Amino acid sequence: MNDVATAERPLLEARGVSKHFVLADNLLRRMRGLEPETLKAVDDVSLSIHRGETVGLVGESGCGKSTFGRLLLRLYEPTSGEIYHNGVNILSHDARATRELRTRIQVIFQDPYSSLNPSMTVRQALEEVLAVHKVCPPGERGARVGELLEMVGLAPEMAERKPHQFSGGQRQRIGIARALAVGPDFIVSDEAVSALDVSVQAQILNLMMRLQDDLGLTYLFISHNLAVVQHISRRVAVMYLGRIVELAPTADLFSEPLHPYTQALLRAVPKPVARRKAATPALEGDPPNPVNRPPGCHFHPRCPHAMPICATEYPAPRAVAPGRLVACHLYDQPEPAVKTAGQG
Amino acid sequence: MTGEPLLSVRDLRTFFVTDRGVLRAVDGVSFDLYAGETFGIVGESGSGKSVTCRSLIGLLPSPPAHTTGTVRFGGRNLVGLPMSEMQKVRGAQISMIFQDPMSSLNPVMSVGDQIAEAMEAHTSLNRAERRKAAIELMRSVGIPLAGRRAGAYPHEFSGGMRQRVLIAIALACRPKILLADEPTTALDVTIQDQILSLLLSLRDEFGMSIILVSHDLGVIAETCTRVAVMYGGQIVEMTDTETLLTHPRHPYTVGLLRSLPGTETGSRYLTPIPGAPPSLIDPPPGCRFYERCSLRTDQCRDWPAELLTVGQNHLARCLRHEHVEEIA
Repeated sequence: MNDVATAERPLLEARGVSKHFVLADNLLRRMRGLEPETLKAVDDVSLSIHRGETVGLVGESGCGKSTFGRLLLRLYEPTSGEIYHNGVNILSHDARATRELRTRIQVIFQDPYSSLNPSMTVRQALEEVLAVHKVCPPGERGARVGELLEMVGLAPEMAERKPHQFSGGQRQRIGIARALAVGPDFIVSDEAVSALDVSVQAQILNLMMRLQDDLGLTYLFISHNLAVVQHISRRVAVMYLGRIVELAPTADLFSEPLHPYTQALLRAVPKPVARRKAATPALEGDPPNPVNRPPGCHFHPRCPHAMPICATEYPAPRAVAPGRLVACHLYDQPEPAVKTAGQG
Repeated sequence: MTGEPLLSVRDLRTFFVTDRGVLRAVDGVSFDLYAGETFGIVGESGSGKSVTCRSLIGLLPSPPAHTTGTVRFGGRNLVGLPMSEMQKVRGAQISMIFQDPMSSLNPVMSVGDQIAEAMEAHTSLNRAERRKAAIELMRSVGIPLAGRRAGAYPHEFSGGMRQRVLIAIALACRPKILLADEPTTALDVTIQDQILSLLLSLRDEFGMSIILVSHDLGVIAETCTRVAVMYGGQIVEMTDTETLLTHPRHPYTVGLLRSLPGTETGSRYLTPIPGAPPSLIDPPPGCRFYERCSLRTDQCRDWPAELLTVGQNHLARCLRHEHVEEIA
């Protein structure tokens, strides 16, 4: 990341944000001296996102990436931590201010079919958004719907159709139009292209990039698909069991991943080049149960470089290069360990 | 490829009779599978890859499905085989694994019993031997503490472990061919990596052949020796994996490769294939990719769209195959 970007105030900033879900807590458990059983879906995550950039958030199922996205949208209330939009703490907002905030921060989900009302035409769905958020006077709504559809590459006459009359790619375009309807500056894209075939996925990625160029949008791009994230993001954060384990400019992360988990993840991605698959998998074992995370570094039971300290102490995120953060004890010593670990 | 193919598919067609007309899901598919190889079928949703796979062992109910053509295996044609005969082939000589292991497993039966059950139908082992063999199989597919886990139920396993159980069931009778339909699509990337490594090592250990169906060119590239690309119910290109990736000769294959993110360097925008796949209900004659093709000429609409030999062991269903390099 360049210095200009760090100097200005981030558009969105999460500071030590956590979301813990209490799964089991009752009198009987307490009488037996048991702590409440808690799922630490997001645990002390800090991330700044600058205006006009795309930050990718990757990780496997259950790592907390979607929960983090929902915290930014205030679909969940964080257990602790602070979230700032344009310098304003969004968690201190009352209901009215929160509704206003929804015109600034929007979301695109994976499956637009389940988030669109099947009995409403596209026009009705979009006009409803415009009416609820009072973003344009009633008389202008019709024209605005046509404009929005054109922005996402759909013909204005398609407004009279219902969701089932569209293909998957077209429905995702409608999902994008709905997010754009209120004129947001920040969009959380949660697996927005994951359900699409590659040729359609490329169309939607292009659309999202063009809209970013035209409207100056800022994206948090949540995905399990590393190739997609590599293509669209300027910076990438890798999550494992609720924590960000590595954050780096995209090119650096993919050319020289530092965290052993990132290294394994990149090795595991099948690439469309003819090569014999490695006989041994990049990473053995299943991800541990997030309710009962291993102590110390949560990755240590699967880590090929694990040291005694890894089982007892969570590594503090460390700035190892400009714009690069990694939470791993291998980087505790200033020099020699870094190089050998990188080979891993 | 040398020697006799293990499985030989010729002019396989599977049609579905619908209210709106006849849907030609698979329309004239031919390929050979050789002993010990992994053959890939790649394509997007609705290309006919899964229906092809299921048609091979008669898994589609008729009606509405109607399958014709020949699937030659062990000296006979599997298409049109009576149900009782087909059941002797299925599971014993040709097995299949699916995308979603949870919906293929019986939730109220222990996994050990499910693996043993697969042997009951096709082997003469007694109960105790089956149980022992089941635990042995669980070990081969990498389930830790197999002896103890045999009594556990599917919900007690993770997604990756469930897929291993499903593989153990499929291998229970040591089949010659394993049909794998998107076996890793529902799994996380590190688990996918484990399952693919496992499938390849089991292929060598058990001496079987695999037909791997996937939408993911990366998965196909890393696991298959030869590959067929399907589009609109037809194979549009078939060759060895390396040639397909480096010298594709069908515009659709080129389009697929260029749509992939993370492979191009420098260019911010990707190059998608414009438009959408054609309807397979009464498709017009001629090339099915015509509407979306940047190389099309008027001739393409009228020609019978046959697979042409464009190189050694390299087939492409394109009249303009000599010009494909210009857009690759």
